[in-house]
Amino acid sequence: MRVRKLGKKTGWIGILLLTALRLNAQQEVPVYLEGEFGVDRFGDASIRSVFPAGAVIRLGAAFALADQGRLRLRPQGGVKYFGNKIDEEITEQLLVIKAGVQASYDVFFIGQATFFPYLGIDYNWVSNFDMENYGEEDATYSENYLRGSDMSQEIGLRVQIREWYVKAGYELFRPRLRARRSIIEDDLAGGYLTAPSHAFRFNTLNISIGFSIQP
Amino acid sequence: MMHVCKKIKVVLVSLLLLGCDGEGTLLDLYPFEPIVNAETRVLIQDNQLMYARLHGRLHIDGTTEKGWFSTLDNFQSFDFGNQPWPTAQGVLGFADGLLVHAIPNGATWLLRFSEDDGKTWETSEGPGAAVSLMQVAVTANQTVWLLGAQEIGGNSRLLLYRIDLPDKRAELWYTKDNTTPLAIGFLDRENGWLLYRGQYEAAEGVRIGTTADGGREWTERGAISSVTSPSLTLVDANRLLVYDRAGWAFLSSDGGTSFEEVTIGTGGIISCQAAGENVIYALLDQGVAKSSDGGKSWSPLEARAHGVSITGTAMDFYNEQRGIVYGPDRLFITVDGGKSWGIGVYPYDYVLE
Repeated sequence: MRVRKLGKKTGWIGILLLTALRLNAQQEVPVYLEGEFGVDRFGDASIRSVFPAGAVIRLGAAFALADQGRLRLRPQGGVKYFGNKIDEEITEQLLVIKAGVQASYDVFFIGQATFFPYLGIDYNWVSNFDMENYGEEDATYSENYLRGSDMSQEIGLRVQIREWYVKAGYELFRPRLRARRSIIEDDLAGGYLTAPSHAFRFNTLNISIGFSIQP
Repeated sequence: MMHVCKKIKVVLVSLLLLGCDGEGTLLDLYPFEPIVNAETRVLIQDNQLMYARLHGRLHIDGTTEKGWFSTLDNFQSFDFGNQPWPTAQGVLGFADGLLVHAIPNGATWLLRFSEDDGKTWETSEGPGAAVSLMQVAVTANQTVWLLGAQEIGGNSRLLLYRIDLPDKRAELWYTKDNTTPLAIGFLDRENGWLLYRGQYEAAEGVRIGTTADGGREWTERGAISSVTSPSLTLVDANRLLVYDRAGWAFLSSDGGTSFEEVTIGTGGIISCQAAGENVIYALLDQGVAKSSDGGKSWSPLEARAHGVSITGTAMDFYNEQRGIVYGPDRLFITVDGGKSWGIGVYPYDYVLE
C-alpha cells in the first residue's frame, strides 16, 4: 500500500516534469533536467539518535529565466528516507515525500565551477512506520505510527562543473505529526495521556551530488 | 512505476541500513504523560483507601489502612503518614470535622475520635459487647449517636447511644424492644429520623420514626413496604431519601409521613448525598446519578474519566460542583457538578509495580 502511494505521488511529479519540458519546447525557454542524490542528517540530537543518517533523492526541471538564464526556477519532487534498524527483521522508517520549487542563481564562476546559491520551498508528506523483512519473504509494512504534512524551506549552495554538481543545504522543517488513534487509545488504557499531535524539529543538513542536462 | 519505486527504495534501504542503527524509536520522542502520580502506589499497593474527604478545590484528606494522607493538588503531590488502621471491623461516621470510628474490642467497644481526618486519634470506651453496632451518626455540632442492636432471650432490641464531646462517653439514650434497627440520621442536635422494623414484621417493611428532642422520644411517622436493607439520606427538615442496594428508592417531602417511589438509576444504590439545597448525588453500582430538584427526578451522569468508569464505595461532595468518589484502590474528582471527572488515584500497571 505504502509503495503504491509512493508510486502515485512520484507519478504525479513525473507528469509535472514532462509537462514542463513540453512547455519549454513550445516557448523555447532553456530547461535542464536535474536529479540529485544525497545524504541527510538531522540537526536535533534526540531525533538524530533515532535516525543517525538518511538519504534524499530529488528530480526536477530547471527553467533558465531572467538575466541571461542565470536565474533558474526548478519545480521538483523528491523523497527523503531515514531508517532505524530495531532488530534483524524490523526497521523503523521515516519517509518524507516532497514536492515544491527551488530557485537558484548563477552568481559567479571560478574556472569551470559555477556557484549557485539556492532557496527551496517544499510541501512534505511525512510517515513513520516499520518494515518487517523475514529473509526471502516480501517485506511487510506496519500502519503509520506517526504521520503529517507541512511546508519546509531550504537554503544552500550548489557548485556545478559541466553537467555535475555538488550541493550543501540546510532545511528548516517542523511538521506537526499525529499519532495513530489506536496508539493514543492504548496509552489511555494504560494510564497515559498522549498528545494528539506534536511538532518535531526535522531540520536537516544535507549534501548531495547531482546532474543537470539539457535534453 | 511501482517497480521503479521499489528498486529505488531497495537501493536506499541497502545504503542506509549500514549506518542506521539508532536508539529507541521516533514514537519514544512523542510526548505523553501519566494520568496519575505513580507515587500514589503507597495508598493502594498492599493498602487501601478507607475514608476520604474533599475540603475545597483539590484539597483531599483521608486515611488508608496503613496511614493518613493529605493532598492540596489532587495527588500531584501528597503527604503520607504511617498510622495503621486498627481493624477492618467496626463502623465509621463523619460530620463537622469529626471522624468517629467504633470498633469491637473484646468484651466492649472502643470509640476513636479524630478531628484532623485521621492524623491523630483520641480513644474512649464505648457500649458493652452484647451490642451489635450498626451505624455512627455525627451531626453538625459534633454530637455523636450510635445505633445498635441487642439479642436477649429472643427479644431483638434497638439501642441508641449518644456521645457528647468533650467527655466522649457513650450514654444509652433510647431503647425499643422487639425492634430491629436499620438506619439513623440526624439533621441537627435535636431532629432525627430512625428506620426500624418490628421483630416479627416482614423483611421488606420499614417504619420511619422521628424525634424532635435529640432522640429521647420517637414518633412513628410512616412506613415503606418494599425495602430490605435501607439507607437514609436527609436533604432538609422535610425531605429524606430511603433507598437500598437493590435499587429501590423513596422520597418523602413531608418529613417521613408519606413516600413516593423515585427511580435513581438502573443498578443498586450505594449511597446518596445532598450537596446543596436541591442537588443530590447518588453513587450507584455503575456510575453516578444527580438530582437537581431535591430528589424527585434523577439523571445518570456521564461518569467516565480518561476512559475509566467512575466507580467506588463512597463519595464526598464539598458543594454542588465539587466532589469525590472513591473506593479501596481509586479516587475520582469532579469540579463541575459531575459533567467531567479527573482521576486522583487508580491502579494502573505503572502505579502497582
